[in-house]
Amino acid sequence: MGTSEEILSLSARALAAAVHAGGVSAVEATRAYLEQITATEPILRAYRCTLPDRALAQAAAVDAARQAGEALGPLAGVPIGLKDIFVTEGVETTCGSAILSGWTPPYQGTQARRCAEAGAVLLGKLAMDEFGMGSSNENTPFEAVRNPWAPAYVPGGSSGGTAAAVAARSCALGLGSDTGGSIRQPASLCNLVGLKPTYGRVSRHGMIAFASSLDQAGPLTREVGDAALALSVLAGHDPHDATSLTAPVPDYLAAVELGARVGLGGLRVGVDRHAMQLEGLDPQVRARFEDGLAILVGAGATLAEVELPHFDHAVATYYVLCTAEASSNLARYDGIRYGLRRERASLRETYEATRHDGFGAEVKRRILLGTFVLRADSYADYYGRAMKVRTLIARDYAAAFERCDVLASPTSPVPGWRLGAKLDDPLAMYLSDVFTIGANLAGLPAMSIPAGFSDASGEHPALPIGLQLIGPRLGEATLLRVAAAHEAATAWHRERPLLAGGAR
Amino acid sequence: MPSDHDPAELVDTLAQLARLELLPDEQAQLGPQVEAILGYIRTLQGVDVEGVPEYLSAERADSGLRADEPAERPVDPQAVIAGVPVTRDGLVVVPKFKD
Amino acid sequence: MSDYEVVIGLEVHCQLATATKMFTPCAYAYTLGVEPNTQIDAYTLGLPGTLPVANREAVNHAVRLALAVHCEVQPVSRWARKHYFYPDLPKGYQITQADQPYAQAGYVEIADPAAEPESLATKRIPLQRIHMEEDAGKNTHVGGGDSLVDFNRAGAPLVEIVSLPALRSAAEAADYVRELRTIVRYLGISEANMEEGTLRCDANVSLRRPGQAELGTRCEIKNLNSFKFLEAAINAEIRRQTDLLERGEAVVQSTMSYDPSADQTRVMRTKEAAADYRYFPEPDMPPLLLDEAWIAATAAELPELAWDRRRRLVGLGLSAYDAGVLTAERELSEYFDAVLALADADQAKPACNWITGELLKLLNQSGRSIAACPVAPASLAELLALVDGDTISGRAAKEVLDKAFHEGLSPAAIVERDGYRQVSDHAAIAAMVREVVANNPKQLEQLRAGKDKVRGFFVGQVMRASNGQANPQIVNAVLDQLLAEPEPEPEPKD
Repeated sequence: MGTSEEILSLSARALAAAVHAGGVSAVEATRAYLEQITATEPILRAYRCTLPDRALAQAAAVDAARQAGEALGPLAGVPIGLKDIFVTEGVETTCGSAILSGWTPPYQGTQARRCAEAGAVLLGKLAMDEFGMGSSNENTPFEAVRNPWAPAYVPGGSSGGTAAAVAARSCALGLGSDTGGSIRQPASLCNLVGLKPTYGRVSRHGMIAFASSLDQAGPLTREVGDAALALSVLAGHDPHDATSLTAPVPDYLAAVELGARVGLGGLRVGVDRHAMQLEGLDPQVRARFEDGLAILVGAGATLAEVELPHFDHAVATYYVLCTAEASSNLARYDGIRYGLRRERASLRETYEATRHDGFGAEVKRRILLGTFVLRADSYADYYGRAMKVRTLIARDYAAAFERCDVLASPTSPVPGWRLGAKLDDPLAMYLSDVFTIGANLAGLPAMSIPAGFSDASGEHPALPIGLQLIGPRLGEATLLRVAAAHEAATAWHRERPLLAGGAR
Repeated sequence: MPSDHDPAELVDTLAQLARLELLPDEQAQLGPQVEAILGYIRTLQGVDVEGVPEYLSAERADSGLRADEPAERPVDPQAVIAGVPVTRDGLVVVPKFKD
Repeated sequence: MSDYEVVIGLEVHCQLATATKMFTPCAYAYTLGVEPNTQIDAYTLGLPGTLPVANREAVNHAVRLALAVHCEVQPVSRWARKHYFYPDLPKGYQITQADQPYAQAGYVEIADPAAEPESLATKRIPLQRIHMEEDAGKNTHVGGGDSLVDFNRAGAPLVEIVSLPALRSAAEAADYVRELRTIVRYLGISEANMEEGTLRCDANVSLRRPGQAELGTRCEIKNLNSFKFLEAAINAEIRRQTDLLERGEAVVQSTMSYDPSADQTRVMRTKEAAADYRYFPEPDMPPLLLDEAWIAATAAELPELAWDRRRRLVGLGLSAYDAGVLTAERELSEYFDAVLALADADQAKPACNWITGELLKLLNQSGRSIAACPVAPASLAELLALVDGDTISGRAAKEVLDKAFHEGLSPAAIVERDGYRQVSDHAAIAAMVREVVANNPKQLEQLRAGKDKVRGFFVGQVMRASNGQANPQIVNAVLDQLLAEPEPEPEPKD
C-alpha cells in the first residue's frame, strides 16, 4: 500500500501490475485520484462530470474479483478519464456541446465498453472543444480548460480536458479523439504521449462523429508503455463499425520493450526539410525538434531526407473534407429525438432555433463551409477535388515510407498560447494544424511524445514541446518502439507541473 | 442562384440549407470569415489532379457486410424513446409542417 | 382521345423481406397493429455515435432481383448520403446509392398491348437502374398542428427500381408494376403488398407530340397505394395535362397527389427550386464488392420466372390465359409442374382445368393458399389418371376431389370406399340400355324421330339403373348403335 503521492506517481502500467499483485487496491488508487481531481479541478476545469460513487463501486468490484481469485483485465483498477465524445451508457455525454447538454445515452460505445471490460475505473468525462472542432479547448459553452503547466495557457484541443487531466495526474490515463491532431497537439502542449492509430485500427462505434473518414480514438498518457497498454485494449475489429480493420493486433508492449532495451539499430527516420521551413515555426520548437532527432540517432537510428510534395495543400484539403463531413454528421442534431430542443411554432423554426442555440460559433462556421462544398454545383471543384488531392497526399506518404521507417516532425508549430489569444482568427487557428493533419488525411498512425520545454522568458513560462512520429499503415508497433527508445534516453516524461507537485 | 460574391448573402443561403438561424451580428461576423476560409480553400484549384482517383478511406475485402441477425445485446426501444424530448403515446411529437 | 403521346416512367420501391433492417441489426418486419417505436434501436433514431453496417441478406435479395430483370450487376458500387431535413429522416440524411448503384440497365417484360394475348408476345420495358437504400419513418399529421412520428419502418431495406420513360399508358404502367410484383414474389424477396406499403410507386407523366424527340415537362404523382388508384391517377394526370396543353398553357413541373373522390390529380408542390441533396460517398462503409463468380452462381440458381413458365406452358398446349392464371404465383406453377411430372404427357390441359377450376375453388372456400393444399400433386395426378382411364366419370371426379380435399384420403381410396368406379363393360351397359329402351317405347319413337333431347332421358334412366356408375360415353355409344340398327319389323296385329 502506498501514499496517494506514490500511487499517483505510478504509471498506468505499474499501477495495473500493483493491483494485480495486490500491492495497491483499486479502491485506494481510485481515492487517490479522486482527491487529486478535487485538488486540481478548481483551476483546470478538465472534467465535464465526475463519477465518484460509481468509480468507487467499480473499484470495489475489481478488488472483490481479485479477492475471489478471478482473472483481472489488463487495466484492472486503473482510474481513467474519457473525453466527453465517447458514448457512455447512463452517464451524461455532451461532446462539449450545449446541444447534447444533459444527454444520457441508452447504449454503451465500444471504446467505453472495452475499457470497462479491461477493468478500468471511470473517474469521469473530460472536457473538449465542441464536437472535436478546435485546438485550444476554448470552443465550448462550458468553461475553458487550463494547461496544468501554465494555467493562463491553453492545453490544446480538442482533447484538452483529457490532456490537462493526465498531465495534472487527475487520471492515470485518458482517451481522446483525433481528426486533425486533437490527440497529438494537446499531448504536445501538455508534455504527454498522444497516439492516433491507423484509421480503422480502433472502432468508431460510440465515438460521436465529427469527420467520419478522419476520426480515430486513442490514448493520452504520461509514458509510452501506458499508450501501448491502452492501445492493446482498444485495438481490434468491431462488427458495429464497417470501417474497422480485421488485421490482427500485434503485441504493442513488446514493441515498447524492444525500443527501450534494444534501441533502434538501423531504423530510418525521415524528415521533410521543406516542411521545416514553415513560416511561423517557433525557433524553440525547431530547436527541440533537432534535439529530438539527435536523441533518435543516438539510439541507433539513421536520418533520411524525404519529400511530401503536397504538404502545403494539406490544411486546405483537410478543411474541405472535415467541414463537409461535419455538416453531414451534425444534421441529425435538430431537437426532435434527443438533446436540446427549442420548441417553436413550426418545425423549421424549431430546427433553426435549436441549432442556433445549441451550436457554438466554430461549429456553425464549419457547418456553413461544409454545406457550401457539398452543394451539387460545388462538389467537383471542392469536395471531389479535395478527395483527389487527398489521394496525392496519401501517395506522398507511401513514397516517403519507401525511404524511411518513420517520419519525424514537430507536432505543433508553436508551444501553448494564452487563453483568448487566438480566438479572432479562425484561419490562423486552422493553419496551426499543419504538421498533424497529414496523418489523418492519409489514415496513418502517429504519435506525439514529450521532447522538451520552451525556455521560460519574461513573456512566457516554460511550455512543453512535442515531437511527432508518423508511421506507415498499421505501423503502431514501430512508432511505439521509436517512442520508447526516445523516452529511455530522456527524462521529459518524469517532469510534473506545479499543480501536481512538480517543479514547473 | 444567389450571387456567391456577397458573403452575407452566401452565408444566409447556406444557413437556410443547414437549418441554422443566424442573428444579424452573427451573419455579419461569419460572412467575412467564411469568405476568407473559402479563399484559402480555393488554392486547391492549382493542384494538378488529372487522372487521380478520389481517396478511399475505408477498404475491406468483404465489403463490411453483416449477417441478417438481430444484435446480441439489443438496445431497449423504451430506453431510446425515453431520451426523446416530446412524445405522446409512444410517438415522437414534431411541430407542424407542410408535407 | 388527343394527339399527344403519353410518356410514363415509374419509380417502384420494394421493401425487402429480411429479419433485420438495412444498416442496423434491429429486428423488423411489417406487422399490422404493432406498437409504434418498438422496432427501433439507437441507430434507427440516429443517436450520436451509431454507425451503419449493411445487411448481407438484403444485398443478396437485391442482386437476385437485378439478375431476374436482366440488369448489369456492378462489381463495385458505393453507398451515398442524400441530405434533407424532415422529421421521418433521423440522421438528416438517407443512406442510398447515387452515381454508382449496384445495378444498371435491365428490362421487365409485360404483355405487348399491341398484340393478341394468345400470342404471348411481350414488350420489354427498359430500366435505368436499381439501387438499395434505407426507408424513412412514418409521419401522421394530427389536427391542431403537431405531427407524430413512428420510426418502426425507419431503416427498413428498400430497393428502388427506376424505369426509363418507356411506358405509354396507365394500363401498361399497372401491368409493369404487376409484373415487378410477380417477380419479387417469385424470388421470395418481398411481400410486395401495395396496401401494406411494402410496394410503393411514384409515376412520372408527361405528354409530347408524336414524333417529337424531347420529352415534355413531367409531373410526379406520389403516394399511390393500389393498382386501381395507380391507373386512375395516371389517367387523371393525362387528362389534366392534355387540358392544359390544348388550352395553350404550359405544364409546370410539379409533385402531384391523387384525389380518388374527385378522380383528379392535385398539385402538392411545384418544383421550381430543385432540392440540393448534397450527395457524397458514404464514408462509414467501404464500397460494395460483388464477386463475378458469385454473381454468376446466383444467376444460375434463380427460379424459372413467370414469362418463361408461361411460354413453356403454352408450348404444352395451354392457352395464354390459362398459362397466366397458373403462373400468377410461383407456388401454383410449381404445383402444376409437380402434377405433370407424375401424370401422362397429354394431361396438361386437364391438369390446368382441374387446378384452376375445382382446386382453386376449394382452396378459396377454405381460405388456404396453394402452399397449404391438402391435396398433394401426386393425388391430383392420380385423379387425372382415374378420369383419363375412364375409371370414374368427370362428375364423379368432382366429388372425389372434394372428399380428398376435406378428408385427406387419396382419390383411389375414396373411389373404392364410396363406389365411384364406372361400369364400362359394353355388354353390361348394352343390356341396361336395351331394358330401358324396351320399357320406354314412346320415347324411343321420339328419339328415332329426331328429338335429340330425349337422349338425355335415356342416359339418365340408364344412370339411375346403374347407380350412376354407367360410363355415359358408352351409354351414348350403345344408344347410337341401337339407333343405327334397322327398326325391327312391327309385329303383325291380330
